[in-house]
Amino acid sequence: MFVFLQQIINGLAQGGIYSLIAIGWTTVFGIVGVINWTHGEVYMLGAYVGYFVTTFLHLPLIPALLVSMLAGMVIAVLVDEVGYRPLRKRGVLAATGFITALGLSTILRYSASAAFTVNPRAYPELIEQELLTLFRVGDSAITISSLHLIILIGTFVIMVALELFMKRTLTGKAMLAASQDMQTLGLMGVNAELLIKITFAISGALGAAAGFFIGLLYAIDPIMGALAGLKGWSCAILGGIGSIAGSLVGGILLGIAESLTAGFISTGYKDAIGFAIMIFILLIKPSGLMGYKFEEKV
Amino acid sequence: MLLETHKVTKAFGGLKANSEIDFHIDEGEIVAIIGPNGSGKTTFYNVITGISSATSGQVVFKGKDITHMHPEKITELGMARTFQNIRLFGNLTVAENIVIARHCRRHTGIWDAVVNSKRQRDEIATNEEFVKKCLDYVGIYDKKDWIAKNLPYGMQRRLEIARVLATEPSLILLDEPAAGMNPHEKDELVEIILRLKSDNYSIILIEHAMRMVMNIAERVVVFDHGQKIAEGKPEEVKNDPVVIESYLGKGASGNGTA
Amino acid sequence: MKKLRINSGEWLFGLSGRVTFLISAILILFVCFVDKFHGGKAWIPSYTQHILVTCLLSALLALGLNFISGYLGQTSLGHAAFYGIGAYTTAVLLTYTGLNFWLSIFVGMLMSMLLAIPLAAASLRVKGQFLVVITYAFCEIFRYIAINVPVLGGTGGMAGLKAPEVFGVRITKLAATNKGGYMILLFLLVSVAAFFSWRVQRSRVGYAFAAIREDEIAAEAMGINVKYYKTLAMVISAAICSIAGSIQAAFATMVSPELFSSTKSIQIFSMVVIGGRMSIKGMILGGSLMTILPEVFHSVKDMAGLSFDPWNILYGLLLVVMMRVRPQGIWGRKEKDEG
Repeated sequence: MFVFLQQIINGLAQGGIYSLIAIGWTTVFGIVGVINWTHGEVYMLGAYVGYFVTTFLHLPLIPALLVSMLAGMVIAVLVDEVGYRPLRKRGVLAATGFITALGLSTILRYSASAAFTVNPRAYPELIEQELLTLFRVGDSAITISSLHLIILIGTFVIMVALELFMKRTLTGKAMLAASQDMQTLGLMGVNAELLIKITFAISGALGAAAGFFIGLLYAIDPIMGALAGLKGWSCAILGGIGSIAGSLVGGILLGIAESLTAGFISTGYKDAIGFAIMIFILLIKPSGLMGYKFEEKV
Repeated sequence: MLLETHKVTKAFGGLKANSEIDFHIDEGEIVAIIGPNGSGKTTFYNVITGISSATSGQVVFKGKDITHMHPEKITELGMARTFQNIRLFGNLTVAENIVIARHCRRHTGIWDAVVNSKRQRDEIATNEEFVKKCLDYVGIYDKKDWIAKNLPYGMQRRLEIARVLATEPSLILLDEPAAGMNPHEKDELVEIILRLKSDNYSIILIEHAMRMVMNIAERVVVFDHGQKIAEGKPEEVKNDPVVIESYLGKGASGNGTA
Repeated sequence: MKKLRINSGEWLFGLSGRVTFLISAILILFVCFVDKFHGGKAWIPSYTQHILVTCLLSALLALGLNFISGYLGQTSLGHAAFYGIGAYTTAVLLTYTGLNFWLSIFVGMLMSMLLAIPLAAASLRVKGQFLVVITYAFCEIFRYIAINVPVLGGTGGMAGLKAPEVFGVRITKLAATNKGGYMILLFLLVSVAAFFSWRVQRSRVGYAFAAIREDEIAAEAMGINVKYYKTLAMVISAAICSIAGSIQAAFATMVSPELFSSTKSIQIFSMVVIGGRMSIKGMILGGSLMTILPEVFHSVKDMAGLSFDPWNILYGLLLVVMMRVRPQGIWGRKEKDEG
């Protein structure tokens, strides 16, 4: 029981990171209807920007995070501008968007490998890592690493900011509406192109933040985006596409599931478990835990 | 009795798109289903063709209970439909559309295809016959090598009918076949439907063009809010106060007496 | 009346399939046996022969995936799973049971076909974007199994597989070089797979696939059992990819979890996309291009002394540009007309 609880706590930070990636996926998918396969690469580049500004410019934690998020925004918007917009203008995005995304992600990943080399790199120590005791069960303590705590707080703050943006601002509301019906919204005078750019910017910022957080925990490398991106997408599906709350829950669940698998079954299967869960959920409930059900009109 | 439904109900969550509908059609009959938009006509088609299955009630076709049968089996039994928003195999040629519709009457599998068996060759010959026969029936045989989506709108509607014919049905369900057609195209369509009737096909027709319904239907069934509110000969239905009310709103029918 | 065809009958340079086959057969036999008349000295470098074998393997994989990504029009990023399953089945059977190689191909096919059924079941419930991830995850799961199950040799995989025998002669001794036998074998298999695809695509089954690709609901309404045909396509596709896997295992004399890598899956998918979905000659071209181009750029890298491999970046660029200028692939049929 004690170990079980500890494993859950250990999985939370990773889960928060997955949630951030998943929300980036789901917002873009909701609005442009394409799996933005480059999202994993934005996450990787965000981690690298964080690495450079902390290592060479010696920026402290929070400014470094913000710079990295800003870089993520720029990259994601550029990806849309260069990759998707020309296709969208010709109305062929649905048919060609996915393969374009696949190509762009390959370009980004291997350009990064060429520029940064494939050697893993580690962030400098930005905050002291120590184990904090949360509470005691009998005579054993349930602990959380200070890094995990920082990541959880960071994730929480970003989520709250996103929630406020979505619910309180007109742009946010327009984004929610757009994920339901883009065309009508365009007819109602909303600047669709601007809305799409904002969505990509938000997605990029969240992805880069996730990359930055992972950099605090582990060494980073140019190909880490592939697996993380896929896991983020799994969480988005797990929670239900189009649902931000669903992505949050999906991410946390996956983080915990992985941590429990690593603790009780084998670390080797840690990565496989998420995919198994995702396939299982999709088979019994294709709309995900909290998603809408899409039905084709006949 | 060719097709019969007993108290067919289709619910989406709490919303009843069809509730307790009793319906029947005899062989060789043309029945029209009319009703305001959203009154559950297309849902009813989806239920009887097996695309979605009824929440409760029973659908009987040719003496068989088909309530929970898969759509492809129902087509095989001899019921075929067109769609309100045309659903052709748009990137294939007109002739290929017909060949696909022959599917349920063919029996060759992969093995026949690989060795090019006698059965395969026979079927290909029959296919070509049917392409000619069905396309001639609706008068678009000269367009057989066109890509289906490049056909003019009226011809796409006609190709849908030809495709239905290629499945050798006994009951044909037409879902707003005249929608979006100009008067000339409508006349041609009426002609095709009357020819179908004289060839002893049974037809259920959903249609908004009232003049057309009144001209060709032998019996009219009226739907409103998922319920069958009236049934009878065209002229009876036309003067039924309940029907007028559902189309024009409350009070419209009472104008004379109030 | 003209015969109804999905593809025109023309093959390369206006030659029919039969003529193309004969010419290719003569060329392949020439490549395999020319060294015999050349004083035993390798006239065609072993490296070139290696590339040829890999091209044929890729073409076979592309022909396999074509059933899903071509005829059914579904995206699969998981077909390396079947490639790997075929390879591992052969490796395990050869190592632990000493079963005949040719039988192991069949066992591998059976395994792949069985495992294709759950994936097909998934493709019945979810579509498009969701299916992409499911197929990707499906393949990843097998990679983890290959890494973690001790019998399968872990990250190192299994090595030292014996080359198969044809009538008591090792396949490596069949022709003048040790690769010649594989070349003939693969040439035959690719030809059979191409012939099979060509016959199927014009048959009742092929038209059922076409109908499902175009409009599933209309297909159902026209009497096509969508579930059955989607499963059938997946099973056929799995079987073909599995054969390629078994041969790869014997050819490389080893298997490793990298067979299941997502890079491989994406590569197979790219072959289909670049060659042109549904086009049989397109599959052979796509498979060859995706084999030869990386090799060319590897040598560019070596010659120019680059610290990175330019191919991967160019490969991404190729996909992006392809989608702009010719989304249907080199030999594909144009599907989505604008306007």
